[in-house]
Amino acid sequence: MTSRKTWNRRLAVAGGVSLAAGGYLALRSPSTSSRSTIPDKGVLRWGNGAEPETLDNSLSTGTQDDNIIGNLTMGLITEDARAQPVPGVATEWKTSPDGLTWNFKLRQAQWSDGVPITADDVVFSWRRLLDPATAARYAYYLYVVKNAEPINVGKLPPDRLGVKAVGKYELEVTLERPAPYLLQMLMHACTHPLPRHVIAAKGKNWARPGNHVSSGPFILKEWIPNGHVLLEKNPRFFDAANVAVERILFYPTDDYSAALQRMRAGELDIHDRIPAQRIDWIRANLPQLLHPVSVFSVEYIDINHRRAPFNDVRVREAINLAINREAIAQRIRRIGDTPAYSLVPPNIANFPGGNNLAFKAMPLASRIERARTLMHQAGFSETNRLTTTFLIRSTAPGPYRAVAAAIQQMLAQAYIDITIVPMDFAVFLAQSHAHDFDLSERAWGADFDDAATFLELLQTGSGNNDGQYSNRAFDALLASAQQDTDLVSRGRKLAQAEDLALKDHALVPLYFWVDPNLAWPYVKGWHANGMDKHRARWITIDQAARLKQFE
Amino acid sequence: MTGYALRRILGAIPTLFVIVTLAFFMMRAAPGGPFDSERRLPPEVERNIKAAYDLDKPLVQQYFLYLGKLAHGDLGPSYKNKDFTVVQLIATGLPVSMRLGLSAMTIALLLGSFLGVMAALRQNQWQDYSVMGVAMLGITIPTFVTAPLLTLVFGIYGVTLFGHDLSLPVGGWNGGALANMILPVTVLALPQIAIVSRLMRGAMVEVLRANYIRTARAKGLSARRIVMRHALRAAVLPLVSYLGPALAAILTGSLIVEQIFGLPGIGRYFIQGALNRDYTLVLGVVICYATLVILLNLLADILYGVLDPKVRQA
Repeated sequence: MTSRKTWNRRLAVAGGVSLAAGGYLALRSPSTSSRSTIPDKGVLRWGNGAEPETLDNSLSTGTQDDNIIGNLTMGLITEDARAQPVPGVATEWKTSPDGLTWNFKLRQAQWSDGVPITADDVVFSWRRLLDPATAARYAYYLYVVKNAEPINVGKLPPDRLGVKAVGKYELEVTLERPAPYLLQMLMHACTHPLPRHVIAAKGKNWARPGNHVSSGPFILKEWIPNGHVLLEKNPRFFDAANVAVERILFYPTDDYSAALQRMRAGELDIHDRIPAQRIDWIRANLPQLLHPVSVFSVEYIDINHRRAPFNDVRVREAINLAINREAIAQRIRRIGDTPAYSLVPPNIANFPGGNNLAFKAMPLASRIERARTLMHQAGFSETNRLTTTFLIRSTAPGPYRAVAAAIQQMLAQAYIDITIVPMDFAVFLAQSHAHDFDLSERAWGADFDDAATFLELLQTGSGNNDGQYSNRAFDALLASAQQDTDLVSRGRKLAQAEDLALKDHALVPLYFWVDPNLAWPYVKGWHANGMDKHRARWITIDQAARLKQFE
Repeated sequence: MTGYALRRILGAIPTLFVIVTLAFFMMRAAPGGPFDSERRLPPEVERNIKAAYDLDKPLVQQYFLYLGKLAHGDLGPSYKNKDFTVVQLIATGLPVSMRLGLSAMTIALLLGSFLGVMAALRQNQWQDYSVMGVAMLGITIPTFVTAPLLTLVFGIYGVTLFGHDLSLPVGGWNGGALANMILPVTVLALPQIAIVSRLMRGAMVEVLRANYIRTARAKGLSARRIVMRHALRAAVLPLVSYLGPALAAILTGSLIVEQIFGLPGIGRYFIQGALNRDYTLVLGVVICYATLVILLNLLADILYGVLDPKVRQA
């Protein structure tokens, strides 16, 4: 056998080599990398937060789909750099006095294969969305268009839809009820005109690379599931001369912490989400990356109005009173959410706002005092406490758990003992939709910039009214607002409805989301906005700054 | 031997059938469905979607529909990745996972066996203790710790050795470029090196005490020949039985490693598919995994026969 001495010598050599290697490890710049793999200025690398579910406009739903689709196709109306409506495929529009008929003039633009984009492509797209055979999740989005609902239910054929081509480049839309917010709606991917000729030839596979044709600034080049999606500039886009980005790489970065590492290593220019647990580190080390923006989403506790004692407004008010929203937003979440004292987020279009839970200005101690008084009146006390359950939508440790634990502590002061029930998201939804809960933590985001999308949560019979709140006066105001063509008076009615719901303590608003994106400052034209929509046609890369950042 | 292998493969078919059946009904027993979301769908929209995927039919009928398609090699559409079929997803993802897994396992086998044998030869001496101590660390430190640590050192701080920049990409597949593979393969290999070296050491220590090794020594065979020719062959047996299931697991990818490094493998489909109630995708991955386990176990058994004369005769 080899002698002990030889073995020892071999080991010593191996150890020495590794030690020497370790000694040469030079740790440099503390927060970012220094690699020379920075692409040229036309390339934008976009951490998309998740793998897109589909790039078919009619079937898409999530942000991860919209980030890509919004760069491929364009609606009649489209977003500017701050997600405000600007002319897209349509250049002019007018409304009839009753608000029920809209006329759109389209620009003479082309699909990326050279075929003209016509009014028939819009008609085709909308019929396709509503055709029951398409099975589109967002079909209900266009229910405002005449006959849309009966078509989607299969009672009418799709060609009865209230949209028709008056000329090659002229479109007429008939609505079921006035929708002054229609322009906001028409930015949504599911309403974009679609390439009829391609879908006729390729069917369901039309949205795959090789088949897909674009109306927007980019074309679909490559899609490796869970790898990346590659877009390239569309030379036939009507405004191509003003598009600086040549290629976009979307990465499905579902591990946000790992994505932050990739930002630091210079492998990503922007990232759609932040790792919430790293927020303090980011603030301290890379504050220039943070682009906090209040998005139109509210986090709230849904209350089951059909279950005692939650049908008692005093108990609901006590719950509302006992929650310290500032503590949740500032001490637990810490990413800058706005404490919510109302249901509709601030800065929603055509909505006066200003409603708040009546006690907003009251000091916390007096609020707890009042909560206890109300609970006493409802028959509860220190010895006879209300015990109930609180569903949360995740079994993983993390922000939801922390917030729920804080709520548990807060409610305990008002004689309410909650048991937190963490659930898998699918189970959580199934149980919430089945109205099988006492209290449940929910979130709601806007499809488009309009207050009614929030208030409909509390409408009697609405499919999303899981807590089954029901108030005739509220329903009447909402119905009347839906028929109103005047944006100001419509907004006033919606605000009145919200005020009613808040006086009823119909639910427990917690906070309005901020959704901080991460973007390096060298990405110019990236503007935080409430819809959280960013189109690369407005973005330019300051390449000198990018190189300097990672040199 | 061929007859034996054929019998085993045929025997695998009812096993697979039972697995598919169990997985199918277990998935469907879980509350919720693939199309649930915060935003509840109008009932008519939900009906349209369910009809499009045959989910409106009775469960038993759906089961037989699935079996019918399966017999034709069709694993159905993915409910979540709507633009791809399950077959397409597995076909693009599996090669990536397999490449990573095979590389990691090869490294683990070579390095792990070497370390294990070395430790066994120096049993209870400092070489043994240091190798086994490090191996214990390799087993206990989870990949979700080693992966971010390695990316931090090699991707973000940057490493220079003798003036050469040794920095590595911290994520992305990049068509399987070597630079993109180094970190994930290392992370995958580390615990395997540890396990392999411990298995190897344990078996080797025992074999070295066996009578036939003493006989070999008495005959005056060289130390190298004794270890390489006689001891190793017997000591490798526990490793072979470990390798079947371990290879199947590592070849079907790792959720954590693929998520952290942003790799397009199939590791994430299992757990994400289950959470999303993407029934067809989960079933597809289960079938893929089960087939690999069965095949690799068969391979291990055959290898056993080759290595161990006692098994061959029995």
